Order: sequence, then C-alpha cells, then structure tokens
Amino acid sequence: MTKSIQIPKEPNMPEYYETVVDKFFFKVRKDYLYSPYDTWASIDGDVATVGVTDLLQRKLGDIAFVETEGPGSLVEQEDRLGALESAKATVDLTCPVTGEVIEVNADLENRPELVNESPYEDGWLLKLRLSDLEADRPGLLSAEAYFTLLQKKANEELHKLKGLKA
Amino acid sequence: MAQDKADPSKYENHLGIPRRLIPWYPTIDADRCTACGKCGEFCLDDVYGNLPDGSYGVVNPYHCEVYCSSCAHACGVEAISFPDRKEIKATIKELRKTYPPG
Repeated sequence: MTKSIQIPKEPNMPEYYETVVDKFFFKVRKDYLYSPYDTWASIDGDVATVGVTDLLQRKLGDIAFVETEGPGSLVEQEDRLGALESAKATVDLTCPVTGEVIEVNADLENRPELVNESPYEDGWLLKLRLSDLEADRPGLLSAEAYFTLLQKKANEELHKLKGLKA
Repeated sequence: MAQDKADPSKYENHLGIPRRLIPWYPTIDADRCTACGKCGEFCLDDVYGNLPDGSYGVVNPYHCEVYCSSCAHACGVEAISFPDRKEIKATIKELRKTYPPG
C-alpha cells in the first residue's frame, strides 16, 4: 500500500482568485486592495505598493515602456500615477490610494515586460507613504469585489482583449 | 462569422452610474487637428468616426473609458484634451449619493 505524502504548503505563497473568460485566464491576488480602474494596492504599515491588475496588462499586450510619477510627488486617490505604453495603446493609470511616492520600480526601465509577466509581484510600479488610508477606503474594493468586477469587465471587453475594434 | 463588437449597452453605465452623467470624453482642437486618424486607430471603444459634415472626430463620446486617455497619447500634434481628473472625481463622488455602488 502506498503511503500518501503530505506536501507541506510553502509558507507565504500568495493566494489568488482565478477565472477563465473566453480563452483568457485571469487572477486576482486575495490579500490586496483594488481600485475599480484595474490598479491594486498592497498595504504594509503606512507604505502601499501599487501596480496594475492582470486584466489591465492583458488588455494592453506587451508593455514596451513604463512612466510613473517620481519620488517626492504627492498622488491622490484617482489621480494619474503614470502610464503604460504598448503597441496597442498608451493608457493612463489611476492611483488606488493617496500618498507620497517614496520609491519607483527601477527594474521596469530595462524590463517593462515584468508588468505582463508578474503584474502583482515583480511588476510593481510605485511605493507610496500613505496619507490617510481610512479616507481612501470608500474608493477601494476588496479582492473579492474586484474579482467580481474583473469578470464583468472581461466579459464586456472581450473585443479589447482580442485586439479587435469595438 | 460574427464580428466581435462591443454591445453598445455595455457603455451605458460606469460602475453603476449612468455614463452620460459623467462628462469624461476627448475634445479635439480643430486648429491643431490634421485628421490623421491616429486617435481612432488607438481607440478600442468606437469613440471616433466620421461626422455628418464629413470631418473625422468624436462620434460616441460616452463610449470613452473614464480616465483612459490613449487617444491623447497617440495624437502627434497634441490636439486632444480631457477634463480635469479632479473635477471628474468630484462629479463621481457627488453622483454616488444618488447611485451608490453595489
């Protein structure tokens, strides 16, 4: 009789909500907060790391250039935090929280594709020192709420994902 | 084979708010515009097209995805402008009183 082996779950592995829309696979990291404009914020004390979601990177296709506000800039919730450029389009990004930029992801200058490959981890865009997270809460969605929104948007925007005109 | 087109009804509301109440759409400076068509080329929401007078411009302003600005980036002569984001944010906040999320 074979002995079943319990493979221990690696500690600190992130968990995701996952879905397939048409032929497209999307995931949403469970421990982050989200804006309805497809950006996320990961909170650690008074520092928020922000980036774009799987839906946004997929809509754009291969990202060629990343532009963001620089250290010292104050960016309010719903303000423009930067832009992502691909062959398809250059879209402005909407900041999920309010804070002062303290760090920019320097890896993205030479490796913008990190945003496509790892939108929730290595493809992070900015770190902000939060001004008032509680004031930002009404404009933030839980991971579960964003996951619901993502599925709705992905279904409605299949024409964009496929790169066809509306 | 059916073309994948966006159902126009999908543009009717923005996160639960009637889209037409949010004044976010591109404005073209006619003096700068060269009618090159790049705006329409990079817009995936059918905002641009031929106008009744034969010129090229904004035909579906409320198809425009709030805060997107792709067309402004694509325009080679900076002929496209958008409303102030802070004003749009305030408008949406006000509209939320009538149209709460969820």
